Amino acid sequence: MRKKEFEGLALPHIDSLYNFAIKLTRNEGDAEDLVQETYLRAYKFFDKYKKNTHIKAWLFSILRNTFINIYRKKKKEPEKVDFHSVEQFIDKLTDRDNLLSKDDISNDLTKETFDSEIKSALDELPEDFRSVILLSDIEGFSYQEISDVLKCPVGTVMSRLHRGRKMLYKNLSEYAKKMGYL
Amino acid sequence: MFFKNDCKSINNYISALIDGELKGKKADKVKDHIEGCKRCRQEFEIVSALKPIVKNVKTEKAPLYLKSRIINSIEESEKKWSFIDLLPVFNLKHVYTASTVAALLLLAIIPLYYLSANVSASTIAVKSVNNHLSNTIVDIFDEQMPSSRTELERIFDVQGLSWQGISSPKVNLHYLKERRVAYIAFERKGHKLSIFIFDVNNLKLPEGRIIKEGEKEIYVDTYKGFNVLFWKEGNVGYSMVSDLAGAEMIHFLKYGEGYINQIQKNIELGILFE
Repeated sequence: MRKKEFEGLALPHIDSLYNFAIKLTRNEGDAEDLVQETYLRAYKFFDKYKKNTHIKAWLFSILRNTFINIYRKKKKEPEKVDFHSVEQFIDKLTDRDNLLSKDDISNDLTKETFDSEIKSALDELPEDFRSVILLSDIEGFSYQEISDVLKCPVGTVMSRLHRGRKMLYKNLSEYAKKMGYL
Repeated sequence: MFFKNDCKSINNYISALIDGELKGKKADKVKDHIEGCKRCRQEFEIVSALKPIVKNVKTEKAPLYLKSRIINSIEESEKKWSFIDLLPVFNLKHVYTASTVAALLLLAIIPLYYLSANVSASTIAVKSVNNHLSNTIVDIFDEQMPSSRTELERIFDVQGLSWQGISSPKVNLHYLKERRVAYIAFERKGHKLSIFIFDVNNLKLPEGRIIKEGEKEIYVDTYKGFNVLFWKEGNVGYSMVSDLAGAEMIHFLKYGEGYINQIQKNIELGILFE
């Protein structure tokens, strides 16, 4: 009975979890293992899941914990972010006239061909920033839910999200420049 | 005043405004600032444009086989479940005497012999009687509080115990000090078997299926696909958990007793529960 209930509630989120896992691990094999491990742990602790709460957010937080415990251990150096360069970049933007306008972004960057570029621009972001953007914009989690998943204060979610978006924009603009769109 | 009206203070709230996470006066204040500030308006427009683009990025779909792989692994995990996770959580008194320890070892060693003889599993004589049992056993075994483990692990090399083809069997005896439980768990020939020993004073016994085995009354249940036997002698409770058929487990109990003295003679018990 427990197993049936679990599978009914949890398995429909497999695609979202897998997508998140791919973004974290950047590797299909690791992503599959991570999703599998997530489900195993979730099943083991299913009694601790509070009925009628957002099970997707609960599963995401298990996946994220699992990722940190298993995969991040492999890395020795923590990822570093050069915030200074991001801020400088945004500052530079406001001084220039040939900015990528809102319409430019919408018209050009939404093209099918840009899909993979946006993906790789996302991939270039440090994990913390990639995660908030993904959870907010792709999965549609609220700041509170993101804070639960990432185990950090809502204020941190907010600033990380904003900084992450700016970094993403920087990555995309650099690509656009390289390709001659700017 | 929630925050200052300068770019640095406003900046982080731009995304929150776009995401609809900012309400009332705070939202108004950020909007007002954006109206009059070129730099922040620029950021507001960038983020506003970026959000739907990211949202529409094609997401990865899990490969079809992953779902069945997961369902299989969940089933597997139930079989592979750890004996330690089943430990009862209640206070035990100092009930460990030489004979109970000997009994514990006896219960482990007989199956060792049995399994090594490669006897194929007979039909399961003892089926689940979950519905008829009170939840007592299941409740005990459902408790999972691994944090309270204090493990004392001893490997017993039982000297001179080489009867019936077993030479000096090695058994891990775990004693969880805090929880006053001793148990042996091992695998042999693909079968798992574990024996718990604990104080039973405050334990309500199940009212369901009871099997008489000589003087013993053995309560029977299954838990996560394992057969659970449960009996008591005085204030000492015993539980044997295994994926062996119930009849085979009872077989150990039936024929095991003759060996108890032999084991007692061969083990120094003093070191165990100092």
